[in-house]
Amino acid sequence: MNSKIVFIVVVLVLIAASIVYAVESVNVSGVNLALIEGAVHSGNTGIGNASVETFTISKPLAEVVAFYSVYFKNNGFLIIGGEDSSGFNASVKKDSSMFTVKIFVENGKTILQFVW
Amino acid sequence: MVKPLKGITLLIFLLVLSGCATLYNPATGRNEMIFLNSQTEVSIGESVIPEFLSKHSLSNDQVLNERLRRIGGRLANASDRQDILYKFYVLQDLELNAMTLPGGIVYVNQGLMKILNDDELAYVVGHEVGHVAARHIAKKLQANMAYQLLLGVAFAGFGDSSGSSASNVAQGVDAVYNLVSLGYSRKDEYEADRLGAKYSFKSGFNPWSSLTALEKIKVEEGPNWKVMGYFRTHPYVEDRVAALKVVIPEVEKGVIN
Repeated sequence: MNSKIVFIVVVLVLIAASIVYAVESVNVSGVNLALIEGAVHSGNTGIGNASVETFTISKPLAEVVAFYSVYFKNNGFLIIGGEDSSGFNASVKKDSSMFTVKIFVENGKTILQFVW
Repeated sequence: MVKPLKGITLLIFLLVLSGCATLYNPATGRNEMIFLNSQTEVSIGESVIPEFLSKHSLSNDQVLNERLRRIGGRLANASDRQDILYKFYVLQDLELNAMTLPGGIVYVNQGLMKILNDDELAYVVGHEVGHVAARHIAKKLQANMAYQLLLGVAFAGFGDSSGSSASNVAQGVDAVYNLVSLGYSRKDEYEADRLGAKYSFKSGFNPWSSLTALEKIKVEEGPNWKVMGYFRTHPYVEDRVAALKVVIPEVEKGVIN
């Protein structure tokens, strides 16, 4: 009986771990990108011809912008174009891949969005 | 009694010769009489490029060009007009402006690219793609220039390259360039805005950024914004903002698709 409980607990832990692992990184246009802690996947709306991955983050906008500014700089990404005081909305390039990264506030929540 | 009939017959004959037809334009939602077919429009655009580049320099910043091509390419895919190949180039010019040659050749100044974020740039480029899709350029050319002159410009590379023929072509190229540089009618600008918002949304960009784009450009242009760069060729900013506020919710709801 005990071994059954242990087995079920182990399976549940593995499932939980795999869910956590699944949102630790995201593949955007062939590039793996780290996700900030606490990012919850909230949709991959394919609007028209675009691929859009959206995450909701329970952290202040400034913290998320700072995280990705440093992350992109330290990992050989190039940030091109308008960087806003109200958030982050720019093209990001690495090797042959380029995509749009947006960080903004919507309904009081910080949203991280990748568009390509 | 015979004369009017002859005139009508001649007119029909000329229209058939010119390849003209009334076609439904999905970008405008109207049946339109277009004398210039796409191939001729593209040829006219290519003939005007040397004249255009004698007055403007292309930017050799590869990353900026790649950014424009990526965003522009997505908007082109969302365009209602798919019978031409859209091309996007950055110009080495700090003035805040963007313009389009016949046949889908879109130029965006480096100055504009530097101040706009991706969503805002998508609106500006989408607006130019909108002019192409709605065939504003073709309609403007056919309304203002003789058909023979336009054909001369379109097929400049195939005929006699000297004497009066070359002189006519050069005049035609100048006329096309001047017409393109003058900008569009108020009605065309509103239509291009509507299409720009629609193509932005369909490409995954935020169409509401059209409002911040216009505001940013206005602020950057300073007190002389009405006669400077972007608003010299794209006027009526307050009216356009008001119209966009009506159009964008319809785009998002799919009323305009």
